[in-house]
Amino acid sequence: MTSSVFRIHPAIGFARVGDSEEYYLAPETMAGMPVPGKPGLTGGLPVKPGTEDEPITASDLRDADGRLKRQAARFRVFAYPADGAAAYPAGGGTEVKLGDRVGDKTVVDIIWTVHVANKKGNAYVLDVPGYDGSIIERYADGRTPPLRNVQSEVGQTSLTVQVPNVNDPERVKAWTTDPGPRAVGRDLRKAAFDAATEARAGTTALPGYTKLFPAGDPNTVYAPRGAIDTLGHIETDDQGRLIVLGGYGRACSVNGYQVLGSDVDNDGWFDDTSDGPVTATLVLQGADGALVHVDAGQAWVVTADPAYAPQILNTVSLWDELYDTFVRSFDLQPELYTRQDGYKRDYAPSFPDHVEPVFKAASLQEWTTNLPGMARQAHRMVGEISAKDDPARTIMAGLAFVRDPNLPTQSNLGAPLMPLGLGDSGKAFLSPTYTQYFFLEQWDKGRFEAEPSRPLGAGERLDRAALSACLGGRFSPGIDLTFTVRQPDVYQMDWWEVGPFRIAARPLSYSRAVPGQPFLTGGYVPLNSGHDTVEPGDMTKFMSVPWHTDYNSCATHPTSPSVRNITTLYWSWPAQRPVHVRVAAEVQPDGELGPYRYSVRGTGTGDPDPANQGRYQDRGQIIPNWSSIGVVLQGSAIDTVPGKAMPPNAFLEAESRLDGLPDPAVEPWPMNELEPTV
Amino acid sequence: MTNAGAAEQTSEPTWTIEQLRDHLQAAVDLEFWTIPFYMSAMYSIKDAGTAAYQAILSVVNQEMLHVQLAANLANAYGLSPRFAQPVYYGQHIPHLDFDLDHPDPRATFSPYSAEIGPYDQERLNTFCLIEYPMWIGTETPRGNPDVATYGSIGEFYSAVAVGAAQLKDHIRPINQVNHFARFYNHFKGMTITEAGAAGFPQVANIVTAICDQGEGRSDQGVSWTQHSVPKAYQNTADDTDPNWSHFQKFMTLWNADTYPETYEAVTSPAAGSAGHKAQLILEANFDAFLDGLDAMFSGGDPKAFMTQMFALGGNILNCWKNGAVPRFGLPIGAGVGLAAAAGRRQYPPQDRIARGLPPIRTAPRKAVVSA
Repeated sequence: MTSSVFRIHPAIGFARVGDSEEYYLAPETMAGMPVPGKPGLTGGLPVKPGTEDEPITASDLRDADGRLKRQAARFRVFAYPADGAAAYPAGGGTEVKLGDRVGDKTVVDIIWTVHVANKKGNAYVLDVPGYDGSIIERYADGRTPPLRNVQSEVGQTSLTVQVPNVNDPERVKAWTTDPGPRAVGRDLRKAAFDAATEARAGTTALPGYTKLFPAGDPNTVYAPRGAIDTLGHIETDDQGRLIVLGGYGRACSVNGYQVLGSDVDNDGWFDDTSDGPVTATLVLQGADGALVHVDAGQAWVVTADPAYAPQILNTVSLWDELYDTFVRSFDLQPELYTRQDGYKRDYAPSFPDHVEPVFKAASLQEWTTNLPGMARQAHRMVGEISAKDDPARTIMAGLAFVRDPNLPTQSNLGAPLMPLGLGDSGKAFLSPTYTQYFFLEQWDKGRFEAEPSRPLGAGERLDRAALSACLGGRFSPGIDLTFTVRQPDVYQMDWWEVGPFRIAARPLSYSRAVPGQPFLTGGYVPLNSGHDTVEPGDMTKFMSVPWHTDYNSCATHPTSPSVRNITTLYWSWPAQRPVHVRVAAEVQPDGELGPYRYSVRGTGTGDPDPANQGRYQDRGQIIPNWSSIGVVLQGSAIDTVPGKAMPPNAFLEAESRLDGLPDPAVEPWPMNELEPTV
Repeated sequence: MTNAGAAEQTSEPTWTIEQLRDHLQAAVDLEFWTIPFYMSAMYSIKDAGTAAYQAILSVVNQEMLHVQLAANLANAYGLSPRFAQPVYYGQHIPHLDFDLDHPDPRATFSPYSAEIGPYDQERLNTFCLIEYPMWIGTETPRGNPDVATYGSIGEFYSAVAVGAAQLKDHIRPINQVNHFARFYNHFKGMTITEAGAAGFPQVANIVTAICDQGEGRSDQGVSWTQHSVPKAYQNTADDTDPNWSHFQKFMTLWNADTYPETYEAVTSPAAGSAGHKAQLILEANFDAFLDGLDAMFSGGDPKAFMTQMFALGGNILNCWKNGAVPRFGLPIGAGVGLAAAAGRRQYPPQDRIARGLPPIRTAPRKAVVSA
């Protein structure tokens, strides 16, 4: 019928919660990197809705009532030559929109089906007291950590069980938010993930689908900002693209208010983040009027925390994690790495694609952390390294200051090794991925290309942009996705057929849905359940519940595992969870920047111990205040400070609604936790 | 342990400000000399996670502080110190003469070498010699302004303290640099902020800090193992043994007597080789770095200084990775004339080294003396 294959991009898209009905679109340029054709603009800014690529400004962050807008994920279908998409990067690719010609047919409809869920309450605990090792190790050898909510109650039904079964239908019903699938297209342009909207997959209505909203009744739950009666909605734009909106950042606890006693595991609590598969069917019409339905593949959508610093690139982003996993587990680029031979030492990475992002990310950290002056200057020099420079003559010569992931001892070594951030679970400090480090090694040897010989295609760039806007490296548990992204069994193995970075969804046979019974199960368990078992909700269920408490706590911490005699504090996720910011409103008339402030500040955040500063001391206070936190944007995008010209290349906090400014200003690193009193 | 020359003194000699400035310049020279020497050995170790690497790193970090502190002292007495190319030659350690120390510590720490090299027994012995403590006993060394070499760093600074006390009226709080305060939460007074006699306690505090952190000055009969760096001078940021002096750290390595794998390298790689190129880059950056130091400790704000400083680590590492021993200046055989022709500062003059004279003077040096 056609000589094309179709893929949805981005392969994984990210919506983000907000408390407004309004929204903007997820960034489609790579955070921290220059944007081709737009001098002076740093990538990562979200996009104004209804536009192709017009970046938002600070005045787009909130609605007229001051509510934080949600971020929508936009998905598109791309066509590739049938014989030209089996390598990575495939390059090329043409977007398929309504009215476009595909072969001898016309695209008359694109039917999108999305099924998101939240399964955090029926997942496994992240924090086991006394254990500071790797999270994934607790799933090895058929084991799992304890389940959440083994002692809690929902409504009148006690769920206290001695040996909880994660697949027990009653347990699934009690702790899973599952609105079921929704479908949109030319005729039905919008569908909500709420109880009132009929479930639908493709063109098939599912009136008997058992929708689950265990925290959806405001009369039975503690719901300070509303019950969780929806996980958002989907809609299509005029060109047939899919727009996915997530929840409103609500957090609820069943049976009244329950103390938020943990940063990551709070029994009885729900939030309205979610994830699940996105599929598309192209409806093509030939000259004879006949309609043909063509499967356009599958992607995945995740709804996560707001992006409070969308342009600040993580030194290890989620992109780096997935790319590393695909390179080393799926032979994504045999010229770079094979499972048989390892890294190919004659491979020449692309400076702008593979090396420069690390340098740019390093240079941007000063906008969300208060580095000492000499370190700030050094980081800026890292960001200025270009493909024209002789590596041996740069500040990165010899990679003397880069933590080597191949040497396990280095994960416990702090400065001067970089990144100067806390490490993954079980590691004191953060290291680049193996593939990132290999690229740096090649660059250090002078073996690199100034320009990529095989540039990414437009759809592949969307994959990368979406994932680059997210946190990698430190999955304890993380912000957008977590440690399971390193598990090969969550991905479709035949990437050359379906495209890389695709989640291996469990086939969802909705015809088997039984009224009154939950459709979803306990779902994917890393190292246990095998391939093709990922259900809606399975990618986010390993995150904090609710997400708010984890976000709140992860400002600065001592290392874990601890380093002997060291009380120094380090940042958790500063590019994704800003810790120290410079406030746009405090820019002086001459352009001089103000002091560093905590991003999370004001009433309820003070504490004499620096280890506890920059966060609410009562975890419950983040629930009503998360949407008041400001957003760090490039100065040229800040248009909400009347009468002041913003330094265009500074990244400053705008639109904070938190009360007051702390005094004194935040001191630069190194800062120490208070020594324990004996 | 004791300065034989000092024991013969019967009264405290009178110092001139020029003599004190010479000593303070020498203090800066000596502190600075240790940094390339230690760093080179550190970066020769392949695994940064080894105890040796980490111990040397912590000492290097503190030697940088000592350079700052010594330079602050010099500026307080009206001298903006100059940073000449250090020379790593034979067994010559600037301003230290172990013939003056009794018993001679070389009996314990031999063989040793003051030439740039990998971390090995020779280098470690030299580390220990440099940081070897002065035992404070009944015969307190007296400062002799005419003496340019001492048996230990402790004796050197004891002499400086005598001159500094006599000349405290000269103290002025100028050109003070403070880059490390955040790394020492309890260390109050890394800079001189008071003039005249009021500034002398600050001067004395800095001298005490350098000695306590470095050699671990100890009372007679007290083992170095019992010495603990006072809390006031302990690193609070990135040192896992902040209460250990440099000497204790090195002695711990010395007693362990294990040597991690290091890079293989030659002193004179072939011209055009990667190693040779790495040496040239290091030399060039080091030269620029010296200019930056000169500027920074004379009230300037050299913009590229931090880049140069951080790049040095990579420059040194690249030498080792490419099979070359790091080099920080002209080969030892090059004369002063050649150095001048190349626009480099050569220190010390070859004839002084050849005669075994103390290299207290550098040439050419343009120390800036403020009124």
